Amino acid sequence: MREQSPQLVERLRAGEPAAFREMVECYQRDIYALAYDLCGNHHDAEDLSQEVFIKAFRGIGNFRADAKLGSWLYRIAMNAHIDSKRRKPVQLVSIDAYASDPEEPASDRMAELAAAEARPDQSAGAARFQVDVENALGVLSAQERTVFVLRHYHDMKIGEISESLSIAEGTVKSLLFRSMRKLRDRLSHYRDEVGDPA
Amino acid sequence: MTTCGRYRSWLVEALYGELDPARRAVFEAHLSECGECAAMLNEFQRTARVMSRRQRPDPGPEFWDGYWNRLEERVAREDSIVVDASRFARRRSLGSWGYRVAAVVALLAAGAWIGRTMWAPSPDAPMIASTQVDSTPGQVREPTDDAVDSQDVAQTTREQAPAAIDAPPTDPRPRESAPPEESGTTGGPAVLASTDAGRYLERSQLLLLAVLNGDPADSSAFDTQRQRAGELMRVASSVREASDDRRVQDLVAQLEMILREIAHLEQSSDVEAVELIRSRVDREGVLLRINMEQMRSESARGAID
Repeated sequence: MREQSPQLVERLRAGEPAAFREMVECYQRDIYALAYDLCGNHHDAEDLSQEVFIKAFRGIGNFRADAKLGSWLYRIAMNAHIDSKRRKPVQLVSIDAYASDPEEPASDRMAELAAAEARPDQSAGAARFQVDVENALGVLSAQERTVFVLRHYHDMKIGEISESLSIAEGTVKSLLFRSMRKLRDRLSHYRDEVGDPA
Repeated sequence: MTTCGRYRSWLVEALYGELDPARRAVFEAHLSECGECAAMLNEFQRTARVMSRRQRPDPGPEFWDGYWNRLEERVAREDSIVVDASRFARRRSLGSWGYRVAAVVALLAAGAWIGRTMWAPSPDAPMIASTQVDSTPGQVREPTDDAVDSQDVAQTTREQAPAAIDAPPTDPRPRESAPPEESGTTGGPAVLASTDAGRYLERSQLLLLAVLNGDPADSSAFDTQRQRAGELMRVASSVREASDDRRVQDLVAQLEMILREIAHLEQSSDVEAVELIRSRVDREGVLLRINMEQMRSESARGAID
């Protein structure tokens, strides 16, 4: 994750618009990537990433000058995601359902699937794999998914996740264990493809 | 199996290489004896490898090029909703205030009427009593004073009533003498008479949003917007002088130039000119600067409260 220049926080606290833009341009890719991992589709990912920056912009007064801006933005993203999941039920995408009704507006994930299928370097099987993986992630609870993506895709240590989410390390381990078990069960057919670990 | 529970809690740490050497040695010793835990770790490792094959699609350069603009539009949109909501709340609050005042007036009038009808001296009362009462001014008054009393109460109540919704806090003019205000996003003359920077910024923000998002075919709305831009532009220097905040002064000066451009637009269908103004507002982050000022002043008010 990128880190801010030392003066950026001060300029943000002073309410300098150029500093806010600088922050957004510096972190937009990281925050979008995290948001995509948390939400699993482009539309919600953009929405969440924007929400993160708006919350940061409004709450910059609460930011400790000695803290890392990137970690703070991550924390906002995680909490915003968990909050939004409390309000909105999980939705799974079914390839069969999509295929049976082509008039149905395609979800973002299906659009991504179509785009992936259109790419010559990616087979339909690979696209299906992406959908299956996203659906497997969709089975996880908001907390499980958050902990899993932070550890697996964003390389945060268990202790860091615990601190960021203000939950005990034991809880993080437990959530991670449950996530792995659910993913294992959902993706058993792909597990055989990868073979035994070295 | 009874000891496996302890090792299961180490599984994920082992999976991500977070076990310290001492625990790792103990864990590996357990795995060599427990096929079930060893199998589970193997499955987890393979699942992790499956998950690592997942690809995150990049939305492409167009998405990133427009990211800032979309974010800025959302900030402006959400803040305009907040402004509308707060105006509605103020209106509701004033409405309930009005009802309370009306209730007090009605109560006073009813009290006066009851007092006069129930306890007024009857025509049959001895003359001397009437004389005594008349000789004590203020206790009983002639019936013709009733109307005056009611007017006094009403007048007093009117004077105590809060200012109009959009009237500036510093406007000393009585409500009746103030020019009529216009509804909508462009504000009214009463506001323009104010040098209150907060209200000036709010009015300018709403005007900019109306101009930038307005329907080019709606020429009457455009004429009003252009007129409001001219009015806001004319009071800009007074607002700047009244403010001792350098940042506000700069922002008002920046707004003044944009408002001048709007005021001098020939017609709303001059798409090119409107587009130039829009790009200038975007480029200079004007709406964002207004939002930041509003939030800064809200924070300051919160700190004082």
